[in-house]
Amino acid sequence: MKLRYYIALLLAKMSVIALKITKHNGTNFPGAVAVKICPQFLQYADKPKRIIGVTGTNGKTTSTNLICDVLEQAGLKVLSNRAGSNLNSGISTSLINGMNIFGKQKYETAVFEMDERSALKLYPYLKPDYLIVTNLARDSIGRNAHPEYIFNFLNNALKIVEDKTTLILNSDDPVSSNLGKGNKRIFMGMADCNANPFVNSSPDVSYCPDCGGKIRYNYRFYRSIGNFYCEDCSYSTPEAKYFAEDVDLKGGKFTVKEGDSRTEFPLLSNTVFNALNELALIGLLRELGFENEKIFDLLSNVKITDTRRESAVEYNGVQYCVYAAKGQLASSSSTIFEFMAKEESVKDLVLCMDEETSGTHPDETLTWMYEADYEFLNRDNIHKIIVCGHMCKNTKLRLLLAGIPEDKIVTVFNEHDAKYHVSREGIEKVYVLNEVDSVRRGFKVRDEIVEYFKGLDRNE
Amino acid sequence: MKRIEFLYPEFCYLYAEEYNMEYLGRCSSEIEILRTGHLETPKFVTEDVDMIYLGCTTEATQEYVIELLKPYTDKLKEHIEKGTVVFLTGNAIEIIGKSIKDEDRIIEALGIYDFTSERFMKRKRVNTQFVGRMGDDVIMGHMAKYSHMTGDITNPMIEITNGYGMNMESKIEGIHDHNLFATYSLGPFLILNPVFTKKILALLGLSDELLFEKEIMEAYEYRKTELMEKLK
Repeated sequence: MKLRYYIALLLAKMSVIALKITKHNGTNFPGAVAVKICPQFLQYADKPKRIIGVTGTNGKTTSTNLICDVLEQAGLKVLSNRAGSNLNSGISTSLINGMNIFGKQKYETAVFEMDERSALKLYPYLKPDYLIVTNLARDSIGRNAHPEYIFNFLNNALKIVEDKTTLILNSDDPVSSNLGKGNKRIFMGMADCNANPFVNSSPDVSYCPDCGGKIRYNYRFYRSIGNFYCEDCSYSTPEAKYFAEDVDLKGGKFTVKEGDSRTEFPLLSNTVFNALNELALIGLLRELGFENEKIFDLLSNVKITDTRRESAVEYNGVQYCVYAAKGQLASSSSTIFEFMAKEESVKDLVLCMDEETSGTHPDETLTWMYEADYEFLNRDNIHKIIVCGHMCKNTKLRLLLAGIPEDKIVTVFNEHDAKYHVSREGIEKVYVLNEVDSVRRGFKVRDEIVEYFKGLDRNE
Repeated sequence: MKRIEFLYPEFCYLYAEEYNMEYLGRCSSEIEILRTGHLETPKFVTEDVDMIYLGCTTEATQEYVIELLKPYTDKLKEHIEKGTVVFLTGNAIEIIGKSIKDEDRIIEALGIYDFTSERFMKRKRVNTQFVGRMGDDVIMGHMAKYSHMTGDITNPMIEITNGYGMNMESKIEGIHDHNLFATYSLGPFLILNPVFTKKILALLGLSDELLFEKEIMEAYEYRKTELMEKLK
């Protein structure tokens, strides 16, 4: 088997060179080759001494990027899969890139984003020292079924690494905070920050996993994340080792309580999601032995990189923005709809959230539309909604059922026709919400709108 | 007023299936949706109801729902035989079979119909869409599941024309007996299939006019044509 591993490594290394020569950006290819030749590649591969994993439904990429940036800022050489996939093949590719031609690992620290469904293929071989679980929420029903299914899946995988892996958990998540009872667990929690989230029609969790009682909240941050308790038993938010207080999202600071000490840190973002991501990072750094003063300095020199989010150009006083949204995923779509409602500008929305692949893609269903809270878009500041794609008739029906007046809704099968329907007056912003896997598509639609208006202005 | 009992909405709301009741309830002011929680005795046991609905839930909760309903199996059978509309979606269909196999475990179900189900939680999830016929009506559906039904189903709800039915070898889907309609399909089924929703309203003795009828029929016709062209 070892011979097979070395052949796999050699061919994978050669494929890296070939990809560079041919200028192909095949981020998974070397790892995919290696795993195909030697399915136990991850087991035999030389790995960094310290491995940090990040998993969860939402926030994995943002958290992974943030941890890498901070550790690199601290002078560490960090191996990561931030440019690749979070599956077995993507992580194998990262390990291959980190090894010399003799298979010796050059990095001492790795930060890997890990797909939840790949846990059984990853944890036994990578044996992460720390695993941050951001949250567990409703995800693609075609792949991840429901939060309870993913919980059971992760929990079984964690039993394999009970002696090795310390979990860093969000104590305010009623689902993921219950993970890994056999592992060492570090909880992160946060005081009420007046987030005032909307109420979701399809919550990620509604009943207690211990007794079936109703889950209630003292306060919530978003969706099912908040300080919770079961009305019938003792199931509740676990006590946090690192607890954020005086959370000032607008002022950009919060205080983290650890035992009797309190330390103020800068907040890297004004969103509650990223405050929680940052809190997990601070907890990780403390567990790694960083002093609070050092952490403060490090945080003062990094930014949250969120490539999927807002990107704007301005023309004639209107901002034209592209904002990645996960179609087919109710939890993230609802969160973005809530943001669109709360962001006060008067705006047109261009929804390009259908799967790009085809009309019969087995994941392309109505289900997620009825889990997602389109009702949040029924606001005065949402001026018009232009629905694009082959599911536009169904999306229009969903918007009508959400109470949105028919005269605010336009449907176009071809997204390139959206530009003919965007308002030229009476709005401050246009948001193109594109499917997260097709960022270029969103930019193209946005740019077409701006160019179309420029053309009209030239001809007038 | 037509009284529709929505069983265990706190559990059986997975994959937006509760929107079946939301939509139906909004189609007619003559409909009252009665939500029965898991700590209550179902209303169909002691009161007259015009329709009973049970939706999809997690595997663990499905087993709990079986235990909750077991004492009332005969009463449920009585409702089916006297023509009460009973509508089951997603894995709720498995509850009325004989048993559910999960690796070494056999979970005894209500045993109202002669079929069994089996879960394959470690296999790849089955995601399929189908088009089929129910009488003269074209019905669409999609399934996202780890389990399959097997058995000698003599009274299927849908004859599949494009795609697969209750398992990957089957061209039939669901059960139709008296006014019981049970299907693995998610949807929400009543949104996806307005022609079936009209049938339910008629069975309840109500006008079959739908909420946003023009738009829901347009969406249905478009999706139906699309799936019939592309699904094998």
